[in-house]
Amino acid sequence: MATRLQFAHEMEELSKEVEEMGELARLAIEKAVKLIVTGDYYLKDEVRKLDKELYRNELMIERHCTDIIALYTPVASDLRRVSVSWKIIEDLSRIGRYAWDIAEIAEVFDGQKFKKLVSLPQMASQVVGMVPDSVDYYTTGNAVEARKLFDRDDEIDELYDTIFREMLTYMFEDPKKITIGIHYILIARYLERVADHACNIGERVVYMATGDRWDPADRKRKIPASKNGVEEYQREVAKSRKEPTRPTDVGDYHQHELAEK
Amino acid sequence: MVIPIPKIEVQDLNVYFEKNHALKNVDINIEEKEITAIIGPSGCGKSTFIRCVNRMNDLVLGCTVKGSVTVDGKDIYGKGVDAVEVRKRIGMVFQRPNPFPKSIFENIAYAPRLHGFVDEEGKHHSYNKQQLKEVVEWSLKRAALWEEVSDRLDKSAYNLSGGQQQRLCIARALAIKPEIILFDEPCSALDPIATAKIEDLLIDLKKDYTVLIVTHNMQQAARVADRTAYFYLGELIEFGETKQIFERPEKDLTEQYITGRMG
Repeated sequence: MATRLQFAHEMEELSKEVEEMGELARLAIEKAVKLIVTGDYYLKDEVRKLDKELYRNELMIERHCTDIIALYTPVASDLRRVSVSWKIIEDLSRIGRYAWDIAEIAEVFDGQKFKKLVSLPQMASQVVGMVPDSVDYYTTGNAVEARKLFDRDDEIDELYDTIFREMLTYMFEDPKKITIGIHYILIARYLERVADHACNIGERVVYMATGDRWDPADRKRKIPASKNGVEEYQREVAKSRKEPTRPTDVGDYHQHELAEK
Repeated sequence: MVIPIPKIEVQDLNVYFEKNHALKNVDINIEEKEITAIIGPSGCGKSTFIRCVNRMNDLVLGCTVKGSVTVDGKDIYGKGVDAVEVRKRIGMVFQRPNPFPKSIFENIAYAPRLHGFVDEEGKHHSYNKQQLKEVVEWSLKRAALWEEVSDRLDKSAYNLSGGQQQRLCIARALAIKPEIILFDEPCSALDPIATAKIEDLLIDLKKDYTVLIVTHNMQQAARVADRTAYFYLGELIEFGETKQIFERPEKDLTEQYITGRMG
């Protein structure tokens, strides 16, 4: 028979609260994107409400986590779930804030838009999908899928670069469109940040489910399976740490970045 | 790299109380000058295990111990090994404070007076009065009790509070200069403040002694122990660094126990 019924109940409640907050974050970002696409300004108020609601939820869940730690002293997987909940509500709250940032930009557009936009809607729909997925993985403790969020984030980063180039082209063609172009870039930037926060959640879920502090950077390094390969891998890591940092001359840096785009 | 030799090495330890198989194939290495906590539900063999380390189970009728327990490489169950000599090197403190019905001074001085001491050349001596006083003072100081009792050493030990009595028992164990101290739930009869004092003392003792502690209070294990061993139904289920055990136990059984899902 399971014991500590009250504690089990509190843990269930905590998971539910985070799940509900995840739903609010999904709605916020979804509505912000819809606002950009349709220009229905009544959505702006909704996004604002959701953002505030998310912030309120963050405070409430934070208090709940403190209470659980103070009263029940959770350990092992319970402790990991509480600490991860505490961390990811911050990400969800930030997602709400980015939704609000996007909604604010929508007003600036005031009817002017670029006609052919391919990448931005695609990016938006992918990002909007990542948020509820990350929360689902939290609820189910699915570390395998949580890791895959980072692959999805790579696609988002590529789309961001594409949008950046796309906008530059438009702006070169018609300097009057520079303001709107920059706003589009900002939207893409905010969406890209939302995806990053979904990844943060994923990273925490991996820790929650496995107990391992997984470094997402490891995913890009080749880890040889053979025993001898371990040294090779360690050398590679050591080498990557020793690599000289990029020159920090700000002016040159930006020129370089722009040329690259 | 120098591989440290474990202070206590237990191999394939099996203990039977008549037909009851109380400990099953326990293998464990206890490192020197560390605190090792033993946790597990009631009847899992924690106390039986700790009592094997200083041959206290020899005193139990119908108890059979198989396997080997070596301290500094010497088998304490070997032929010709005197159990009393083993217990001189391995002190023990029990669940309930059990001072002798004597004065505080006599409680500490009893064992040193009985056993005497061995000097650097290996010669056996008896303590003289002055030396005994020194040993009593040293032991009480080491057990963080000196300041509280130095003015009433001739009073009965029974006048002390529970927490003080327990520290007196620790001082008594220290008086014969053991290398290892075993604690069998030393705080279960104490209030939180007395418990905190004992815990501080345990951490301090770690500098000079190897400490093994059986505890029902998991948070206590988490607070004081360097390593934690989890026993269940006579088997050693998991043994590892305390942080690892309480943050990410490898075995499901450990997880179930420490999170309170087993009951």
